[in-house]
Amino acid sequence: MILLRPFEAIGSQILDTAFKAGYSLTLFLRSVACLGGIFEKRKSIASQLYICGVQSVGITLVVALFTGMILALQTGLVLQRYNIEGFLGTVILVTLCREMGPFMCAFILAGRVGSAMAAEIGTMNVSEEVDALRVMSIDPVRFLVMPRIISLVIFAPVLTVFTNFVGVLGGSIVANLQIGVEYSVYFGKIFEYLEDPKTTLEIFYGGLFKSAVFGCTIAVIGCSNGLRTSQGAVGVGKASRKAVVDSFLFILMLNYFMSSVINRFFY
Amino acid sequence: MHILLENVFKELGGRQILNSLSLEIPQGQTYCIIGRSGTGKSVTLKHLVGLLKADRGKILIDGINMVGFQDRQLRGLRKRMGYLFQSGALLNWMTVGENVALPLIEHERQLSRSEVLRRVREKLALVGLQDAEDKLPENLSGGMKKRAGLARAIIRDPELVLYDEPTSGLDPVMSSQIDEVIRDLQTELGVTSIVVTHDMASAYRVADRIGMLYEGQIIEEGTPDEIRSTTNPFVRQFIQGDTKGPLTAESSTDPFTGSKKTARVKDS
Ligand SMILES: Nc1ncnc2c1ncn2[C@@H]1O[C@H](COP(=O)(O)OP(=O)(O)OP(=O)(O)O)[C@@H](O)[C@H]1O
Ligand SMILES: [Mg+2]
Repeated sequence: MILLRPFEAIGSQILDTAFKAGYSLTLFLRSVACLGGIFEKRKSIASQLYICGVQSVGITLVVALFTGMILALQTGLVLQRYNIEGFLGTVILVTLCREMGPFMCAFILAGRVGSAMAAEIGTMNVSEEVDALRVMSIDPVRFLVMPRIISLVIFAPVLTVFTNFVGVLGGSIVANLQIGVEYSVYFGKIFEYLEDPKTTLEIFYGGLFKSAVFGCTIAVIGCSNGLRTSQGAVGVGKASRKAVVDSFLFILMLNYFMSSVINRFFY
Repeated sequence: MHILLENVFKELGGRQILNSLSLEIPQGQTYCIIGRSGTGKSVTLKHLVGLLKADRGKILIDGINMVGFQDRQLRGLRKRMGYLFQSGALLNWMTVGENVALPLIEHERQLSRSEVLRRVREKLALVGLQDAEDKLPENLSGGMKKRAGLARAIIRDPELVLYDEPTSGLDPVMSSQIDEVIRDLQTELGVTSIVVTHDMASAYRVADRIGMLYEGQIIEEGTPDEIRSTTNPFVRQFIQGDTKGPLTAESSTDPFTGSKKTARVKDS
């Protein structure tokens, strides 16, 4: 019988994952169903936006700056070998807008905001506050979850724009100082590249769309882990940890599929 | 509201918490549930508002079985009920005033701001918290949170109020004041109440009837006077707070009669 143990473990893991996925999906659909209350909840959406901002803007911009710099350094050295370092700006822009920007923001938001959502809602759950809402006939999904999803759907793309911008700036400094690309060349090539409206559309809106989807994912997973919290403080810690891990995994997988679809759409 | 529980069973975490629980509370009466920590007093209250669903049995409210109620029906029912949670359960990012106003703001949109404020102040004064309106829950003591929770529970003038340990964490003077609030709600508005408590002094003051929950059933029930002079050793030990007795011993006595266990005589 001991031989069967691993299979049992795998089986229950699969069941557990399926349950979680189902729960999160239901939560998402229920939030969509109460989108009608969005105007009423504007205050709590605004305060969630503020919380997201405070928790993540600083760190994201620092990360963006250094990512731009490291991209410039490593790519620059390669491009330099073929004497095409003038394209450095374009390469960084495209890399950031298409993949790195949305992705980095999502990871930071998952780590800071998603985990905080899980912890906050988890604490409310174990201290009977969510039950109190239910008893007052206030739908926790409309009251707690929907505003959080909306705020991240709005905020993730905004943060991504900042990230891309700061990353490109950071890249320009390294390009100039270490690779020897003039600022005029660096930005000149970027603007040249952006003259084609289709390109602009693809790299910006493709990236922003992904960001919005990531934002939604993070909020749904954070809230769903929070609402499923049990066992007091230990459970809250677990929920917030799980929110991060689940978000990371899901973002990675979603990213691949969305990138495939977006590329197919534009080429 | 008239409450009738009939043979309610509930298993939680692999343990049979409610084991054929039966209980009746006539309209306008105050019923106290006493019992040791972890016997399922809070679980019982949660069944009455539909936060937990009975595995088996009937919960009749004004003659209608609420087990299996859907969301919409539950909403209708909950509107007529107030629930004071054991921990107060205030939302921590809102002030006390906003917390108390929440049910009005969410459900009685037609009320003007000043009307909402007037009612909030009235209820806060009732529980002695007139000065705490603008404080955040984190700046309140445990007892103050509980009183704020009470103000929120009764803000919509419910017909049934469920109190989960309303006086624990309060000083004796404040306890008496809260007991008076519970009494007043009953005499002035005809509210039906269920009070879960460990505080026997408070139970004697507010209750029309007291029932002791033990191993998922009410093992003894009566008026405060009957309970005070009961011969049931389980209840005696509980109300006197003895460390030795059938509650703490590996019991083989029958909790209904106190005699050595034979076949159950009473089946309630
Ligand atoms: N959601 C749940 N899942 C699993 N077990 C639960 C759940 N809720 C309560 N229990 C268990 O049910 C039992 C009764 O809990 P309950 O909260 O009703 O106790 P109580 O009588 O209110 O005690 P206290 O006086 O300490 O508040 C406890 O053993 C508790 O562990
Ligand atoms: Mg309790």
